[in-house]
Amino acid sequence: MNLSLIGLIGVVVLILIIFVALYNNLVSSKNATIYAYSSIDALLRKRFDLIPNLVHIAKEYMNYEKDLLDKLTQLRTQFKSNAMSSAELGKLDVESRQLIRQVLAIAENYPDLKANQNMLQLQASLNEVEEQISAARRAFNASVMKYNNLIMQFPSNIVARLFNFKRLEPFSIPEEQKQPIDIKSIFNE
Amino acid sequence: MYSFDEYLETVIFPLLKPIDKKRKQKIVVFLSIVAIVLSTDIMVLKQFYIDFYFIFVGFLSIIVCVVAYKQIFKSYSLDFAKIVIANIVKYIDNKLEYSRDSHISEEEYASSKLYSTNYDGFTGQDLVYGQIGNTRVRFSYLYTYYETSSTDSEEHTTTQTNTIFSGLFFKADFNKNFAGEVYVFPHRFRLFTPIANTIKVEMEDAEFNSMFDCFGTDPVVTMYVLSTSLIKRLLDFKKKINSHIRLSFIDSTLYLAIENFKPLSIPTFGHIYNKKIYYVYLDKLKFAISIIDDLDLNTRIWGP
Repeated sequence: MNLSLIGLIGVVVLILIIFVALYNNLVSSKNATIYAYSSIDALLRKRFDLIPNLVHIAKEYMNYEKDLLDKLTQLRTQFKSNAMSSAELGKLDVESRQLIRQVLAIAENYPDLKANQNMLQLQASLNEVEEQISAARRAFNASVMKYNNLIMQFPSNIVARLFNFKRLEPFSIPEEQKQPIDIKSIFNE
Repeated sequence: MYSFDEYLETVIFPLLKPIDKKRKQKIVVFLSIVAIVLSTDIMVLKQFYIDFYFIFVGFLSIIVCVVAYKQIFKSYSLDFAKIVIANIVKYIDNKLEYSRDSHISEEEYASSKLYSTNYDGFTGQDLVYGQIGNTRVRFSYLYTYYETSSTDSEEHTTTQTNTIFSGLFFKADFNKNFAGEVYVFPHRFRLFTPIANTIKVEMEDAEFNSMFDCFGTDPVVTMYVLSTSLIKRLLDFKKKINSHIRLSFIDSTLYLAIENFKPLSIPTFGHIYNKKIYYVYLDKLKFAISIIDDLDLNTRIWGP
């Protein structure tokens, strides 16, 4: 075997190794986005699971806001775990969040409801879920950015094009949510 | 509530009288020992004036004086700390306790996983512990080190002491419950994650990423622990202290290691009624206690 053939084989092997490494990097980045997305999904489920309790407690006290509570219940039925696009999930996230905020803000006008032990626990749980959803959203967007960068940057963009890796959309964060959530102000002020 | 000046004059200074008397007696004893050592040195050197003896005698004399100093002033230092520093701690927050000769335990240090280097020495002092608002807190000065030995061509072995950590070690309840572990280390190039089973998690804040590297067992949990507001607070805190810091969040507990934080020193010579001495204690203790507010650890809106 002459030297040029050995050199050629060496170059081919090196290209193959780089190719495999780039491919694996793309796959692991995509898996990271899937994992983060499933976290959002799971946490939204957690939030929606709290809605019946919220409606149940609030109904006992709120006589004039039944429409709002019905709307919240209706929204819960729209949620389909692991079967929604990020745009749909984002829309549902914003709508449900706003409705819950509205219910909790109105609850402030009912001193008995405000002091109800179950309501206090529910508020604490909702706060926790809210923070977790926010974290999952941030994690998803960070992983999407990393993945999208790989798809666009050289040389991983060649591998991405070959294996049809597509650009992903980050989870939309409405303007009002880009600021850190001041949940305290909702409950305490 | 007294101002600190009033507190010193009405509470602390009256307590200093018996200690000051004891201190002055000990100074006399110590200076007598130094005088004896020096006269012995002069006599020996007059007899055998050789360079080697000069170095040897000088070295031996320093050791004798240092050992004597430590032994003579040991009980005074403890008494002073018990009366003065413990009272200043109480002045800051009545629910806090102080112990001069205690420190963060080896178990707590190990649980933090902040320093993985095996240590040969583990010492510390000035443990403050108790509850501030909803938060249980413990902090102390800590010094850990490992030793390395080297042998030269003449087979003389030299042992060197290498510092792993010297500074303030702080432990407090964290205000969120979570499963997993999160670490914040000073930013530098690393080939591998410093903690097993963790991955590097990039935060959204470029300034934060330029100062710290974050590692966690789960990216979502890491983001949950390091909320955008905590990131901002950590950045401000880092700028305020301008020293290397490491943090870990494990089992809903925050561990924070701040390097280059000197232990509280006890005045032996000089005037002990100088208020500046006590203001240094106050500032150092207040700084450590204010970490609770700096990192907003007392806010509990995530659970009952």
